[in-house]
Amino acid sequence: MSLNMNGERLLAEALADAMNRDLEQVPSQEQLKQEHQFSRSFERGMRRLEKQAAHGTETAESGKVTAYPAKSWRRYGAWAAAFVCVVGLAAVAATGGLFRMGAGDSAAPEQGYAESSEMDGTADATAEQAWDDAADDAADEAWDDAADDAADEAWDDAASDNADDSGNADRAWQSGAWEEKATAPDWQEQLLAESAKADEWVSWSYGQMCDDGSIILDTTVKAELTEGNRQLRVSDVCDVYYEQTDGTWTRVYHNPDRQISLFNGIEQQGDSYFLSDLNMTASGTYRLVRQVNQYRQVLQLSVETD
Amino acid sequence: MLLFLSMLDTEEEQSKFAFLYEKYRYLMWYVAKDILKDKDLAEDAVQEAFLTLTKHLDQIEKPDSPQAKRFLVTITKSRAIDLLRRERKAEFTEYEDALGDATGADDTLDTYLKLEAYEQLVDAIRSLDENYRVVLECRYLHELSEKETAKVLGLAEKTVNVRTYRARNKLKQVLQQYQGGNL
Repeated sequence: MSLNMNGERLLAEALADAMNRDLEQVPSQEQLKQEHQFSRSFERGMRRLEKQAAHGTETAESGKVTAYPAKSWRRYGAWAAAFVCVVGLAAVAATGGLFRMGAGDSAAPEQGYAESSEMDGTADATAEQAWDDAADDAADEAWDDAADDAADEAWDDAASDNADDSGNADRAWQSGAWEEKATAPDWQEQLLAESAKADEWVSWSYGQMCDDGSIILDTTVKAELTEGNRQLRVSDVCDVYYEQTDGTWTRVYHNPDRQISLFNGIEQQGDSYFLSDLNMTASGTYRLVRQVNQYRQVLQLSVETD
Repeated sequence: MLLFLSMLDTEEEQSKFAFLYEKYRYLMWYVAKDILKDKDLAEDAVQEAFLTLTKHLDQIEKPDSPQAKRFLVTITKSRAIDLLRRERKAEFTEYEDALGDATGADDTLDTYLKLEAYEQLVDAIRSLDENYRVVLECRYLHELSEKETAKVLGLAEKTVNVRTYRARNKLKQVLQQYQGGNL
């Protein structure tokens, strides 16, 4: 039934040659790296597989997640609070997620919660100034993970030259200064003001819950920014705050690494997170915070569990 | 990449995998994108390919060899084809009623495998549907058994049997045309 030995060898050689000739057209690795950057969802998918491999038959988390308030600029249209039936959260493995920081982290109390702002159709003059090329250049230089403090100062200079009210917010973003700013009475207002500015460039919204219990958060870049090929740098979720019964907020998650995604001409991207990774395991209202260029952006979600 | 290392048993396997990941992930993405015509789906295919690789790392003796590269390309193409099918962007029809014929086939492909017709053979291979081509690659290029091929490609053994038979028949038909039916 099989080919004779000579036939098999010839076929094998021809198969190898055929493949090599197909691969001749493949650009070099350096060119491919410039052409494509693996997405955050790819990296998260890799991490998810690691968890599954490490924890065996860990069952998926489940919970209701609601974003609020309704955001008119979400690509899914107007929000309605979608309450998915809650079965209960599965036990999280003892080692926890990659980003577990412990429940002990806490921010100073904050009153109330911020409503996410809606994206206006037009950016105001201040936002346009902030989106100045000089700020972009400074932002590019400043965005260095190895030199966060120096980078934050550069952000300050660029942002304060081109945007109102951002200097204080940017200084709050410096490592070490976080706790200090978080205790400031006007911390919430500052955060909201920054988030409003970030919202003018990029929307951040709850997408959906996946079968494995992870949630997808969508990022949509404003069309005029993609057309103008402006560069946006967007971080992972850096902090998560949980609203206490007395209306104060406690930080339940913190990631100092601040991994960045570049949005060069990209219009939309979805990032997935496990609720347990973000310590969002209890029912209640959470405020997720990430960085968009020099501003922090807030997404508020409500989780209900059995 | 760390996620896959936990699935590997020995340090040697882990370093082999890490090497392959660093060296070939972009190539694999390009190969997958060529089939899927979609950058995001291509990433999914690469991810699935690495998952498959963890189960068949023993097939790779030397990570920095042309054989390793070709093996990864075959796996990637296979995963990309699967995704294409799942996305319903392509259909590959296999006639199950011919399953019985596969085991009793009179294999005359041998008569067309001539050194002097080597270039025609290479061209014929490159014209094959990828579903058939990856099976031939596994069976003859990577020298996998039918069972191993089935595991790598995620197929039933009998399907591998049928596709191998059909792939050889397709090659024979193309070579017949090239060679004008002269043996």
